[in-house]
Amino acid sequence: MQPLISSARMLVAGVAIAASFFATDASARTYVVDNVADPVLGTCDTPGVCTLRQAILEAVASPGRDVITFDPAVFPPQYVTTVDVSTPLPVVADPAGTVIDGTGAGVGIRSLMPDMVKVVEAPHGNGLVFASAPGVPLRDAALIDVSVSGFGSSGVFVCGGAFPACNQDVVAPVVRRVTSSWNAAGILIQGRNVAKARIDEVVAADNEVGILIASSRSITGARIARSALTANTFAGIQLGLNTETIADLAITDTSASDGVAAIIIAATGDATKVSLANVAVTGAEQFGILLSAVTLSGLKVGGVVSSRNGNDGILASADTISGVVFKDVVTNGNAHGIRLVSDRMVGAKITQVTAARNTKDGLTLLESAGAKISKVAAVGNGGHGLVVQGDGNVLKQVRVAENAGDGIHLGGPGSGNTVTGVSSTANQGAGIYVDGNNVGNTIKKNVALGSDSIDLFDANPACDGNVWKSNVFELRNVGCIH
Amino acid sequence: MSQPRRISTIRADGDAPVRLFQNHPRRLRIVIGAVAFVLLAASPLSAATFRVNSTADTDDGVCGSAVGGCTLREAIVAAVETAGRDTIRFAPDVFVPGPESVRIELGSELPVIADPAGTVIDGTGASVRVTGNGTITNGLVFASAPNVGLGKVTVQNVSVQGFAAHGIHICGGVPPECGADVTGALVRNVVAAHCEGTGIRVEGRVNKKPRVLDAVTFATGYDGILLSGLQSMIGARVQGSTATRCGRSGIALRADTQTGSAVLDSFGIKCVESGILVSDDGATTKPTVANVVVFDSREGVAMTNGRLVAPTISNAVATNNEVGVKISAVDGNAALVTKVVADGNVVHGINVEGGSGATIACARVVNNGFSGIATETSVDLDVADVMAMGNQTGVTLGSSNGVVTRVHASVNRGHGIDVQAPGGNLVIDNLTLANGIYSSGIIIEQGSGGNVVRENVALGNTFDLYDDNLDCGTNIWTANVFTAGVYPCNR
Repeated sequence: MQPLISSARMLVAGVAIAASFFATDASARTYVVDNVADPVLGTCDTPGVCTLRQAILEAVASPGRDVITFDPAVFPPQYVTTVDVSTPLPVVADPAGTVIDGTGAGVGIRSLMPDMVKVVEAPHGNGLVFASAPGVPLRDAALIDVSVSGFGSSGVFVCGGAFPACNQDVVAPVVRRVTSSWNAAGILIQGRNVAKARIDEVVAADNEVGILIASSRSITGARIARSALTANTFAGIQLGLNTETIADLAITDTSASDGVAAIIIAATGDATKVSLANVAVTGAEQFGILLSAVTLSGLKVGGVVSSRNGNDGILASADTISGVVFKDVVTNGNAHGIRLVSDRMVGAKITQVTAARNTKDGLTLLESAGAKISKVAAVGNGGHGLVVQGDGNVLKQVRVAENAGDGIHLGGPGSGNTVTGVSSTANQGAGIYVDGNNVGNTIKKNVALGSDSIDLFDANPACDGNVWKSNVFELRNVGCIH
Repeated sequence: MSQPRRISTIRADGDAPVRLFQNHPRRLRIVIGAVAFVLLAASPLSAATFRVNSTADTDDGVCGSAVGGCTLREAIVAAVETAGRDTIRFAPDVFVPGPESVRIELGSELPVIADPAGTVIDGTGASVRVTGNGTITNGLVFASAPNVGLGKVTVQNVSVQGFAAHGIHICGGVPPECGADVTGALVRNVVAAHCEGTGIRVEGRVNKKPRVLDAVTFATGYDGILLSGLQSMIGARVQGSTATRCGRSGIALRADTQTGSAVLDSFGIKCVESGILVSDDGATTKPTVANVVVFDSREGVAMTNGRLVAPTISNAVATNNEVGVKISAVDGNAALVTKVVADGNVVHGINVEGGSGATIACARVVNNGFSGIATETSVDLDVADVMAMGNQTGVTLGSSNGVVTRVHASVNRGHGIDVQAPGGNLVIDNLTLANGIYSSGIIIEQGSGGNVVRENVALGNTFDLYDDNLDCGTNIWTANVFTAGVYPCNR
């Protein structure tokens, strides 16, 4: 045992160092939970009777940014030792933010409260609730290295202002290395504005929503990284619930599966500078990734795989969309691969994207102006490979094959699009199809062969200003195609 | 245009040349040999261009310039009779592109285009489809003569379909042996469909720089595109091509030894064997497969070789195959598999077996039936920057003395990272989250020793860290972040 005890001492020392790091207020205190029981047994000044409930009560009563840690001798790091909660824990109500840090220990918090209908945002049945006070924002709340499970409402609830109103700001909350499962919401952050939320190395499983950031006004600077969401029945990640604006959001190195949607990002107003990088989403009933806003700008999607979702692999829907960049994205086995739907979309850049074996269209851009689509492969989709409708879009070095519809479908109305260097082969529809009210396009230097239908098809009988030039093909529907 | 008379012996006396070959191979070889001798003895550089201006399949002995005066059959015969690298084109005013294909429906086998100098068949500006209606054995067959190399055959902008054997067959020497060299064959913008043999086939003793560009094959009984060398193949390239619905492999490069083979910007899909295959019994040096999509085949991309040197597979999407990407070599080194997405393959996403010094990097392996990445019997194999999600096991490491780093293995049904015997690997800076029930984030299996597991984060697994060796055996676990290690030696 000696080595273990020695290790425990070292861990305690490490925790103390961490605590000193977090403690920025001279009056802040550190409480070490050294008893796994739920009720209050005594004060935390007495060794062996500091329960989590007591530690919370004392931290709330103490001014400053207090820290609650766990004694690794009681909560050994080799496995999770659970605090079974029979009645709701006190709200960790402290505007300075409180740190609950299980680093170096194996800490679980589990609800033994009677089963109830799971309700997100309910005032009762939550696990750890961080809040501030009426009219006061909550800053710097942190939860680290803790498992939470089985709560009828939220496993972790970070609330700006008084609980349960949560109508004040939440600033810089940290949720790190937390596992939250079998709750309504795994992790819920709610406030008027939510700024700089950091969610890192989190597992959220078997909840209704894995991670939910709900703000009435804005969500800015949120970062979700290196996390896994699975078997959440509604969404793995939901950012925005009646939220006006979302800005500077990044989700990286994260996997999400199941639910109605694996990831939802929704604003009732603007969503700007949203980034998803190195993300895998799969198995959702409807959407792998759903983005919805009135105005969506600066969306960057890179290194993303979205597969086997019931409807869209990735759907972005907004009144206006601008500055969208998709790079290195694969959608496979969804209904639609990628759909960008708007009243007006400007300047999308789509490159190194593959849409394969989706049961409907591979890649769809509607009302798009000035999009640059290059190095895209759309193969084996049940509808068209690539649908582009709008003006002045450029398709270059696109490869489409074996689609049940057209390889490339330029829908109308539209004009001034350029299609060049495209290979469209073995499609059941046309290799390249231009709709009847899509005119003034240039389609040149493409290869369209092996179509079951017509290799090159212009629905305008005299091509109506469409220039077809230097294409390789076998079949065309009108003589103005060359 | 000159209208050269034909050499009567090239005619098939009512039997198609290929049938002659099939039934009387020796007779055909003699005939082709005689032709080659005549051609070699003839004055050089007398190449001519013949323009097909009839869709019929008749042969009156003349390739005439008036509309209807020259059939494909007549043009082939004329080209064979004429020394040099002749060209056969198609009259655009006869073969007018429209909504229906302009077909040459063959009533019998076309003559073998037997010319060591190579022949060009070019449908540019026209719409040409040569059909065999399933009753004719081969479409366009190019050959030279026994022990005589075949040079610079070009076929472009034509469609061939409905043949009982091959759509286009370019053969160094005489088929079926094809025992002589073939050099610089080019097949471009060609469709070969509904052929019970191979769609496009280029083969010889030494096959130098064969190229298939922007070709389409579908519904072939054998390989869609096959480039092969009995002895060797140098600089083979398939680019911009689609091979789908094939009885064997979609795009197959086979030779005893290969150097510099490449399959680029292509699709190999719905094939009984491999979507894309590079294979030999000897050695293959620097093969490249890049920018490909492969699905619904046994292997999406397969490199199966005796000795494999510096192969590269990059920017590949492999889905719904039995194995997405497979490299298997008795011996070899420095394989690079990078930027591969393997999704929903029945067994493994990426499988590397044998060899040394391989690197699997920047891969995303999702929803594969067994392992996202499985390595077997390799040494010094590194795995880096991988997202493995929803597989049975994220990464199964049967290789030794490698480094596994920056792997994010989450929500797999079994283990995140499974280190099997023999061991000796460094597993560092990985992230394993929420893997399967009764499974581990990182596990070292019994009998695997000498591994170092450090600075990883494993959370939300039934067993975050697990070593199946007593007291962790010779494995070192240190500085990992976890909440459920099984033994004290898991640190």
